[in-house]
Amino acid sequence: MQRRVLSRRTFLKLSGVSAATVALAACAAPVAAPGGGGAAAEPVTVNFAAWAGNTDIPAWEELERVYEEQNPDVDVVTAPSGTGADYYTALQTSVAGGEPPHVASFQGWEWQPYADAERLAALDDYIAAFDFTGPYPDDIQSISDSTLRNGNRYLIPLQVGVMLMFYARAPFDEAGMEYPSDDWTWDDFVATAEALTDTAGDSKMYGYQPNGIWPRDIHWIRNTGKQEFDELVDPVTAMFDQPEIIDIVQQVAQDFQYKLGISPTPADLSGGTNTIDTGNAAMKYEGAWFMPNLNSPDLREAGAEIEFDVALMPQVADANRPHRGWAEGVSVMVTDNVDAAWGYASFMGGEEGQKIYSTFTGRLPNTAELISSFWIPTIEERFGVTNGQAFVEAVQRTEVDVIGGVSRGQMWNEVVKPMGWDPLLNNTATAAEVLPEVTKGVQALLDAYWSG
Amino acid sequence: MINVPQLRATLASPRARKDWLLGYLFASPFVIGFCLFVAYPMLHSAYLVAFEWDPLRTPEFVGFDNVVKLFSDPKVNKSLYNSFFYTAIAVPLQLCISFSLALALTQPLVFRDFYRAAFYLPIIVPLVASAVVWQRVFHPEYGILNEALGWIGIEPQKWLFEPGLAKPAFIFMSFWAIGRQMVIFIAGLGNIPDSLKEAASLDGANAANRLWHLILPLMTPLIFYNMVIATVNSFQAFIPAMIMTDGGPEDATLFVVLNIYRNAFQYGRMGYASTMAWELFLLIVGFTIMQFVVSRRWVYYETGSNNA
Repeated sequence: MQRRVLSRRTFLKLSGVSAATVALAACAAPVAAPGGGGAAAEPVTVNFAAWAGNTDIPAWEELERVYEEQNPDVDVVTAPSGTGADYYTALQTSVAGGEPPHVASFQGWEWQPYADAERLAALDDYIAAFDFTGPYPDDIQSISDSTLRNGNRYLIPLQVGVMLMFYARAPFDEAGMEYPSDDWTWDDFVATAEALTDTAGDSKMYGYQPNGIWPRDIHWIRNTGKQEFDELVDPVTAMFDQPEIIDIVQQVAQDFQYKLGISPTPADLSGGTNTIDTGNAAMKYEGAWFMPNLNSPDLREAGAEIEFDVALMPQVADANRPHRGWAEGVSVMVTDNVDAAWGYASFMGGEEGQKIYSTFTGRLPNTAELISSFWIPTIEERFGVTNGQAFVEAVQRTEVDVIGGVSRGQMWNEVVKPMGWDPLLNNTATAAEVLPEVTKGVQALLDAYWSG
Repeated sequence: MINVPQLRATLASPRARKDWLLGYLFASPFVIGFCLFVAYPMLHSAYLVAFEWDPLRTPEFVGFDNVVKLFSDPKVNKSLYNSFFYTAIAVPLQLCISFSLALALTQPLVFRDFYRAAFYLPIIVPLVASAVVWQRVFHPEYGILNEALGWIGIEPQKWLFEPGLAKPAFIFMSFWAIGRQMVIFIAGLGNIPDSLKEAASLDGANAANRLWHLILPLMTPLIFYNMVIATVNSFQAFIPAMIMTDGGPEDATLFVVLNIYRNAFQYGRMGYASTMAWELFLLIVGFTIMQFVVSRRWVYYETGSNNA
């Protein structure tokens, strides 16, 4: 038998052809197109673009495992896709690229542009057909604002978002002071923070750790009885320059740091120092997702826990004491597989899914019944929180930040941060100087949106 | 450049045609990659200049609106100023430092190879990781920079929190990555014939004279090369501003590319972002052409005509 010798030229030729073939194959479009068009034996694929917080990822994995076990014909593919602006960048890019996921995580104020662009499926028919009304109480405006648009429901809440005052017990114990109670006032709060502050020594203690951003100072603003916009949903007019808002912002975004000294400056907070987590601040405005950072079975085992509890935010001028609130969860994207997507999304938002998600993340489940019967007992056991009822009380008082075509994030990045909070927090200008400019800048964004 | 008759002659034989085809076949992975991932996106972004495109919606034709808006947008002006400031200060300093280091590390030092490797090492550290490390370096209370300044009696500074200090801090940080320039200079210095230096010495030139009249002229092509590359890179500064300051404080580190990124991916203005990207591209090209024109006055090439 004649032995064929592979010449160098032929070898190189074959190598070149192979390389080009591999390169082209790598560029090929994915074949696992969703939908029921495939062979009957093939599972239906549900792609889920998931918010990738540290505590969320294991929850998604468990939800996926349980759902696939119960539904062997469904293949859930969870893609943790970052958090914050990074998450929405990834999601938007997948939509623009023509490969949207079937289910996507959304915060209650971020999905509206997707609904306006007809990228989200309205869920009303499914909600009615499956009697999935539990997560949509009629009496909580923030949940309605976070889930409804133009009369249609687009978001399945996986959690109710609300933020309270977290306080570490140790500074109060060491100072011999009483813990905050739900009926405290602004004056009580400031006096407490002043009494707890001690920054003279090497180990500093600040009374209150600020978040240093407008979205989280919105709570204080709204408690003056005023708001920064004519409407909280689809605003037309910006109104940051009202005297009450100027006064409260001046205090929380500048005087606390530079006049009273009860809060660390951004420089003091840089790199994660001087915080409540490090044991250098007594109080912080936070949400349920923050609890595992302070105290958990793992932290207790490592001896690194910070014992804490929560209280309603102090009453300022508004007797109703509004708390910032919203729903966060998942939406079903417009694809050829809405039925299967609804199946998985509603599982995550149903009782079984909610117990899994809430257990892993510590977040408030989406119904009052689950919060009371399931969540409050677990947070006492897991995080040592005894005043879980404060969350229930706060949820009743919630209102949204701002929802509309100009996102809160855009207002913040383009105007409110550079023109407002940056100079305030750097102590280079006062609220009376910057907030009129902020009003003009935000108004320009709103005008551009409405004129477009 | 080959013309059509020459090409016909070249491809006259089957073997020549085969070789010609094979050449293109072997080049095809690059050509395909370039077309798909560089040329097409560039052309598409040029097309988008005339459109307003929220990625969630269909692009809408707006003619020259994006270009007109560009010239009156204070954010664009601010970001251009920031990028120019950063480039104008950082690039000359980077060249001076890397050239000085290269001079030092071509001397017969003990552990010379170790120093060379150490100065090059930051190049292989991912930029994101470097940014996080530098955040710690600049920390107002616990940062090593303020600690070191304290030894000579300078008060701690809030480097990344004061608008007047943030850009200088970024410029200082850029010195961290001069290893590549340094290596190129070291290679160039190694190529200068010893005979030239000896001849200069015999003519009475001291070290400073040799540096000024011999070494620097011979190194000008490499100085020019490093300057062009560093200028292009500086105009494209993005990751440190994104990670360390998010463009702040008060937009002091809002560089052009960060502004483009925000408009494209956070505000859903792909068309406007494409317009900004082309503006930056044209500015960099213009700046580079200007550098080439000016280089005729000071860059010395040993071969061919020199305009030095």
